[in-house]
Amino acid sequence: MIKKRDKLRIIYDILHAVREKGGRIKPTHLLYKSNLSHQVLKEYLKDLIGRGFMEEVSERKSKNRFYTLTGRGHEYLNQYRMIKDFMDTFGIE
Amino acid sequence: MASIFYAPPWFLGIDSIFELAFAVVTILIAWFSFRVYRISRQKSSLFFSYAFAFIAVSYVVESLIHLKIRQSIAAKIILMTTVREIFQLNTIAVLVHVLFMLIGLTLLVCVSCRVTDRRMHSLLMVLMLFLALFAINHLSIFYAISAILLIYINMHMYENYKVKRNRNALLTLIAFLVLFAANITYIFSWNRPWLYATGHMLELLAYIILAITLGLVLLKK
Repeated sequence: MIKKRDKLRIIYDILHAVREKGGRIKPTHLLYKSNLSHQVLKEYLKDLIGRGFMEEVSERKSKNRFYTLTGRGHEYLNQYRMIKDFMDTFGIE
Repeated sequence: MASIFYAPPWFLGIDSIFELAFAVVTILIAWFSFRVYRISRQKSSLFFSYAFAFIAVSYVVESLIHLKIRQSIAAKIILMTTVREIFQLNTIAVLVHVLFMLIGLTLLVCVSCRVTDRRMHSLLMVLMLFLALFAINHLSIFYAISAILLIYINMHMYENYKVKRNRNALLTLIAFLVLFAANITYIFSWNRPWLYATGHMLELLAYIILAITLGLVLLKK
């Protein structure tokens, strides 16, 4: 049985997907990699941009949109294990 | 007037050291939780940090004022003004300890029960404070309220352990159960001074377990 991902894990998976693509990813690739529905991903992206983990950038010539990782996003990825352990220990959600 | 302290004579001064130790552990938890908030921006970890910060302050104040009281008692000549000062200091210590501890425990319950509405936070805190401050015997009522709040916190810790099934969650559950036991002993310590010392030892055990748990989280790679 597949275990349901918690919010921290979903955030990690989204940020990890961006990092795997060299820190920059197209929305459609992110939708595929994150394994989320379009609406749910949209909500998460709004949250992640609001928290300062990601940024949305547009190319001038092609007008393609990309999502990039910020320093804060990198730090979350690096510290994810510690954050997860602490919150699991005290049952913080 | 707040209840008179009822520590056994041999425990005078030792209780202050214990309370400082409790403050150190709770400050560490508060700091670590704030660090988690800074990285993850999870509001729940911020409130968790605030909760332990309030609890830490309550222990620091209690420890310092108990130390002052002990120093006054230890003086060779005790004047009536000193006795009056002791009662006034004890009243201040009790009120500050009660205020900050209840705020901290209420915040912990809010985090455990996932209460996010700030109006509910403030409502719960005001209710707790009224119950504690206007009771005739502050301390027994305060410890009873703390025990009730700890029941809800323990229920959450048990549910967390049932889901996570790991060592750290189990240690945290045990620590909060021991804290609950400590509060129960304090309720009955008004005429049994040895229970005051027992309660402190149980609290020390609880915070040692929490410190070990925090260490395990930090050291895990």
